Amino acid sequence: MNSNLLRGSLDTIILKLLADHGELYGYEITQKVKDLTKGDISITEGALYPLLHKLEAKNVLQAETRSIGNRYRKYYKLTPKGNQEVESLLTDMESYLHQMTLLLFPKSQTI
Amino acid sequence: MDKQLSKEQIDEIFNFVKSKYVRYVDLQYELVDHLASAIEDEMKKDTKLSFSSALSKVYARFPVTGFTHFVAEKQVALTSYWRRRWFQAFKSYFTPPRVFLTFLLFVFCFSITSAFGSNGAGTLLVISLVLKIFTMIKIHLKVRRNNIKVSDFLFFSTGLAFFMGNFWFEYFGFQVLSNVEFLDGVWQLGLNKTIIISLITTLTFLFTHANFIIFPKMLTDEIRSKYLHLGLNLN
Repeated sequence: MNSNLLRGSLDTIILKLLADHGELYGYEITQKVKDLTKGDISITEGALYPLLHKLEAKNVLQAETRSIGNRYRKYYKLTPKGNQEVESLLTDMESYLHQMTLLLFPKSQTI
Repeated sequence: MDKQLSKEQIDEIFNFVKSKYVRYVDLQYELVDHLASAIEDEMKKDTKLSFSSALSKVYARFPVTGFTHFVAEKQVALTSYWRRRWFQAFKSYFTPPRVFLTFLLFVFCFSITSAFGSNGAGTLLVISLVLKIFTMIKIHLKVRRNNIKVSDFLFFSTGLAFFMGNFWFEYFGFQVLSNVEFLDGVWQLGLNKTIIISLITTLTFLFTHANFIIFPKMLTDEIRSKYLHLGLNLN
């Protein structure tokens, strides 16, 4: 998939995943995206972590570090602000997809 | 439960991350878990894959700059985070009794500046500067007492740089004072400059107080809520 198209949707994807799954860790987010899209979409580490850190700094996400036996893991989940943000982003995305469909794949005219 | 890497392999990943110039311990933990999770996944898919080959394969997914971008982005994010936390704390600090106390502080600064002109204002700025330096020394001693090497922790060093580096008000204050006329044996401030310098000195004292009270508490709360796994203590 064209990475330019993906870049603008990354925060929507991540926030929606967290809204659906409660809490996830970084690597898990990359795997979920891969699984759900059957490998068509792949979020790189170079794109994922800067975005997670930015969203955490903006209080859209909160993080909790827990022991998982042999190491510590950082889990992310939505804050109340994050929950509002995801609703707003999904509304925007729905509208955007609708407009793009009208523009790029117009219905054929019926006589 | 899927097989986890051994303690020795986790230590090897830590050493690998350090060898790639990630000196901040808090970031090392994040990267190690990501690498370890990915390695476990790769070794599960291909049981013949060795640990070191899996590590190379996983590391290759990072940008050509390695972890440099990760560290730089985290630094930007943390600076933004501390800025937001600080302004939140500063806003919530102003409950009605404190708003009144702030007004009294302004009246005090205005009175001193009106009575003693730029000498009075300058003295207030110097007092604020001295108090701020005293706060920095106090925090430095506290950090040393707890054997914390600040430069090893990105969240700590960015927070400290943000809070301790704010000498802007003193700078602006001295800038205002440097543009006054000396007339009849007195440095003439005029009403406008008196009000401005009084506001500046009020804010410098408030920020110094914030550094003394709010920031150490914020740092302790941050360590307790997010960084217990680093074994830090700030008593």
